[in-house]
Amino acid sequence: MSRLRLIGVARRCADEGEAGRLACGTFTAWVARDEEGSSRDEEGPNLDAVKRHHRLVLGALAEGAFLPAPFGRIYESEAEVRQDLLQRDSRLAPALDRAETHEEWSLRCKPQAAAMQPASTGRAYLLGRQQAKRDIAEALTQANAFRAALTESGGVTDCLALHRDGGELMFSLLVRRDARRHSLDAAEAAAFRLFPGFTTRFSGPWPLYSFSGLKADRDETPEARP
Amino acid sequence: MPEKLDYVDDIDESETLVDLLDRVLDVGVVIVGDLRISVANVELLYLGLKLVLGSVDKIAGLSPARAILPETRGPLA
Repeated sequence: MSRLRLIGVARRCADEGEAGRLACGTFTAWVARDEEGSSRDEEGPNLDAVKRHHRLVLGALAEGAFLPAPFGRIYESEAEVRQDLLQRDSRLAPALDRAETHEEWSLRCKPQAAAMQPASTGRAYLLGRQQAKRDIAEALTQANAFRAALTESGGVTDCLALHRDGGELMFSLLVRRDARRHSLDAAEAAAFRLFPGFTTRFSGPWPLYSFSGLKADRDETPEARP
Repeated sequence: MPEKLDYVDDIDESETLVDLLDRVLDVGVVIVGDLRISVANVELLYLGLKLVLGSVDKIAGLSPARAILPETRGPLA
């Protein structure tokens, strides 16, 4: 018996009979099969498998709009895949529309104080940690203001925030592809204004991992998480 | 025909890999690997990594999709 690993979802296409594709209502699910009892360590939950999942997603994106599944979404049968996706129909359909015109960007904001603090002595290290905690407490209170500023600037359609231990903020930005430059400039300006003393770093574009409608809770509660 | 893609595909660099993990992981997933911390190419620390995302009740409530719970440790790239 084999389990099915969901790679992502595309619109229903004519070649659903191909291996690894499964018709689910108006969608086509891209799946990989894990043979039970297989010794294929590479399919286990390690970093290699995460990278492999990402490469499969990129391969699917080459064929058109695609919603990437989070890593590790496993089903016991084709019926379970269909049932889950059909329950998400109301979220997947608009998400696929967005996938035609949008892309995801990562913006990471890191407090400079922590990065610049030499760790050569315990006291300097602790002072740096205290400063970083103060910085991040202030930054978190402004995370929602940051989201609002981006949305109002046009181009950035949505924004999710994630707080990482150590004082770093990571934002997932849903950006209109045809307004990429404007949107990222606006995001950088907003970060500079709202997070003084933080360094910023963009990476992307990413597949719409954070806005796919396939994640468990975050899609419905896009709030900054302490 | 889809337009030319320029998505991030070089994920071997550590900061980019962190960006990927931030987006690709969901609640209830356990990632196992090894982490090497080094400064100026001098390896300082080698850690076994087991990262659990999500509370137990959420993991248990993930149905019909199952959370992955590893039985063995896997290698790092």
